Amino acid sequence: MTNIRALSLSTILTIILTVILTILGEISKSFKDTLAGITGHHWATKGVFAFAIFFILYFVFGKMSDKNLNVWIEAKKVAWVTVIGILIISGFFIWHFLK
Amino acid sequence: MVNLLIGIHAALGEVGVIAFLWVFVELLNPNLKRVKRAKQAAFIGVLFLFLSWLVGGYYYVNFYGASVKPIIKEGPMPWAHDIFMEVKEHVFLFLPFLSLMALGLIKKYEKDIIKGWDARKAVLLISLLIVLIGMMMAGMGYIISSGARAALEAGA
Repeated sequence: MTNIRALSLSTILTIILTVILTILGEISKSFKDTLAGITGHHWATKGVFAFAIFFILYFVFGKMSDKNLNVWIEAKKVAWVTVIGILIISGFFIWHFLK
Repeated sequence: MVNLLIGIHAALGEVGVIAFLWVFVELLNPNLKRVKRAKQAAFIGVLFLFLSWLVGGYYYVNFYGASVKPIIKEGPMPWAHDIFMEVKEHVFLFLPFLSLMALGLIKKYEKDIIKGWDARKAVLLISLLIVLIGMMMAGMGYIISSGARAALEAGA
């Protein structure tokens, strides 16, 4: 049975990780090179990390109970993190281009 | 320059996004049959978004960086890469996980979606988000292609 608390937390943390890896990769060349060194391309590494982290976190949080969960609040949390993530990434690359 | 993989990536992504639009429509006024269809549509959406990720990723890593990115950056619209491609390639990574979230919600709350409002609102919100981000991806894809075309016209 799907655990929605685990699914929500995994989605939120995977999005946050993606945003952090993206920005760190742009402000630190050595970090971007390290990412690129893992799979051959920095973006591919971010994707592999996101995929792995999502399923690892789902497995870890899957042990938590999701009884009495307010599913609407969970969906709103995921939506807000997504929107804020998009704004941060967009704002960062606009700033990066203009600076 | 023109690569079939771009078309395949875009087509797979569009089917994935349309599948979540289908989920959204089915759940506006749900009954048992519509929820079942929504679950099938969400499964299709997950599958196609993951396939779009794989195909788009293969193209991006193997072709875009070497042959398209330098042309765009030399052309009159370097921001097509520096802003739009950068945003697109990273925000896209949110979509497969949001699609899994939507599918998980429908599977878990199959019956509650018909009876209650909270579970239905939750699936509607995540599905709508996927559709809006998908439309954003398509729009950014158009800008990136325009950047490449403008660069070629300018002789970059």
